Amino acid sequence: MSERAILVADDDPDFRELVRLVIEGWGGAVLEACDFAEAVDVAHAHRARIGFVLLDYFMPGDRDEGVRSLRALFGAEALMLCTACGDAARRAA
Amino acid sequence: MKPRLRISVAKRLALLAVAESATISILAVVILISLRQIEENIAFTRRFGLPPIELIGKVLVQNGHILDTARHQLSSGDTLDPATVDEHLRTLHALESRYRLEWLIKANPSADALKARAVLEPAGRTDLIDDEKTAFDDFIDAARRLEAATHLEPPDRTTEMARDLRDIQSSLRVLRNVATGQVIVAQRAVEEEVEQVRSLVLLVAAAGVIAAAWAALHVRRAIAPRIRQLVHKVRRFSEVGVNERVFDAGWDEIGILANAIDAGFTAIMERDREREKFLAVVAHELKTPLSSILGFAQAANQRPDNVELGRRALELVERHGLRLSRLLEDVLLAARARAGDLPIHREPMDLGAGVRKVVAEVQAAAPTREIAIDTPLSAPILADEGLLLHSLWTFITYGVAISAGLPLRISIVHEPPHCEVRLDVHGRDLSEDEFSRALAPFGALVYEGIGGARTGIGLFLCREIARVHGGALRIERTASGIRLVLELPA
Repeated sequence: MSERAILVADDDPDFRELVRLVIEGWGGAVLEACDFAEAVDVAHAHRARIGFVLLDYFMPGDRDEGVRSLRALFGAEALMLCTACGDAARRAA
Repeated sequence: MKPRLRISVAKRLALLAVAESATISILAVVILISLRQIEENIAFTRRFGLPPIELIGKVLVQNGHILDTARHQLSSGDTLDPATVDEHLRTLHALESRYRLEWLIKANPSADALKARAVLEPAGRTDLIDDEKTAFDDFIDAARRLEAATHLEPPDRTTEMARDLRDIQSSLRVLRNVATGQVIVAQRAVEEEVEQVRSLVLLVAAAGVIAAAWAALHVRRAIAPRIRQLVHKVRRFSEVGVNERVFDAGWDEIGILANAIDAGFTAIMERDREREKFLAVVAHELKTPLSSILGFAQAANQRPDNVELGRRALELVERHGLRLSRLLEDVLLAARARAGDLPIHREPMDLGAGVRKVVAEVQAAAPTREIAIDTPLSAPILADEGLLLHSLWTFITYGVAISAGLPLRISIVHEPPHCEVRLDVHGRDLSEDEFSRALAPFGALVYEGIGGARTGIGLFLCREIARVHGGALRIERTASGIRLVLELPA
C-alpha cells in the first residue's frame, strides 16, 4: 500500500521541486500539478493517497472552481492556499 | 436633492453686470431727459416770460416821463411836444403789436403761448391769463384815447392826454405784474420739476442698488457654499487622503469643476491603487525567485554530500538571479520612461535573432508553453539591443500571460523602412478594461493564467522603448483573436 502524499500545485516548477526536496527529505511523498485543472485531475486519480493539498494562489485556471472541487474531495482543513503576495493571501483567507 | 442649476456662473455675473448697467443707464437717461426739460423750461422763461417784462419796463419809464411832463405842463399851461407824443405813440403801437403777436396768451396760438397755458393751468393760475387780457385791453383802450386826444385843442388836449397817459401807466403796471406773476409760476414749475427729478433719481438709484444687491446675494448663495464644499473636499483629500465625492448637481462652471475634481481624485485614487498593486506584484516577483534561491541554498547546505543537488541549486540561483536582475532593471527603466528619461544607444542588430533568443528564455521560464516562430533569416534594424530585448521580453510574456494556454505565434514582417514583430494569440479576446489597462503606466497584470512566465511590469515599458526607437506598440483584434504589434523602424 502506498504512503500518504501531499499534492503540491504550483505553476513554478522550481518551487515544486523545492517543496518536493524538502518533503521527501522529511520522508514524505509528493504529487505535483502545474495548474488548478491538473490539481483536480491528480486529486481524483490519487484521492486515497492524498492527505494534504498545497496550492499556489496565482496559477493558471479557474481558482474558485478548483478550490471548490478540492474542498469537496478533502475538506477545507486539508487545503492550504499560499502565495508570495501578502495582500492576496489575506484575500484568500 | 438640490435643484439642478442651469445658469452658469458667467451668466449670473453677466446678469448682475447687466442689471447694474441697466440701472445706471436708466438713471442717466432720466437725468438727461430731465435736464433737457429743465433747460427748455428755463429757455422758455427767458424767451417768453422776461422780454415782455423788460419791454413793458422801458415803456413804463418813457410813459412815466411824458406823464410827468404832461402834469407839469398842466400847471404851467404849456402843451406837450407833438413830436414827443408821436414817438411815444409809435412806441405804444410797437408794444401793442409785439405783445399781441408774441406774448398775449389768450389770443396767441403759438407753441410758447400754449406752453404758458399748460404751465399756468396746473398751477391754478388761469386768472393771470384773464388779468393779462384785461390789462392789455385797458392798455390798448388808453393808447387809443391818447392818440385821439392829440387831435384836441389845448387846454383839453393836455388834460385829456395826461389822463390817458396815467391810464396807460396804470394798465402797463398791471400788465407787468401779470407777466411777472407768470414768470414766477413758471419758475415754481421748474423748481417742482427739479424736485420731481431728484425724487425720481433717488427712487431709481435705490431700486437699482436693491436689485443689484439682491442679484449679488443670489449669486453668492448659489456659488459660495459650493466653493466651500469643494475647498473642504480638496482639503480632506490633501490632508487625510479621503476622497469624498461632491455630487454637485449644478450645470454651471462650479458643477463642471466639481465633477472634474471628482474625476481627478478618482483617477488619483485609481492610480494609487494601480501603484499599490504594482508594488505588490513587484514584491511577489521578487519574493518568488528569492524563496526558490533560499530554499535550494538551504537544501544544498543541509546535504553537502549531494553534488547533484548543489549543482541544481547553483543553476537555479543563477537563473533566478538573472530573472531578478531583469525585473529590477525593468522597474528602473519604467521609472525613467515615466520621467521621459529613457537612454538609447542604437547599434545594428538582427531583430530575428533577438526574438528567437527571448522566446528561448521565455520557454525556459515556461517550458510547458509552445510558441510558434516565423522569422526571416535576417531582419537587420538599428536599435538599442539591451532595451529592445527588455521590450521583447515584456511583449512576449504579456502574450503568454493573456494566452492562457491558447496557441501562440510570433512572426516578423521586415519591410524597410518598417519592421513589425507580430504576436498572435488565437482564440483570445480582451475586454475593454483589459485593453485600456494593457498600455497604462504600471498597469501590471493580475497573475491568473500566467502559465509560468511573468509579465513583469506590463506593456508600458515595451511601448516606451518602442517610442524612443521611433516605433509604436499596438494591440489589435483580428478575426481569430488578439494581435500584439511591435513596430520599429528598419
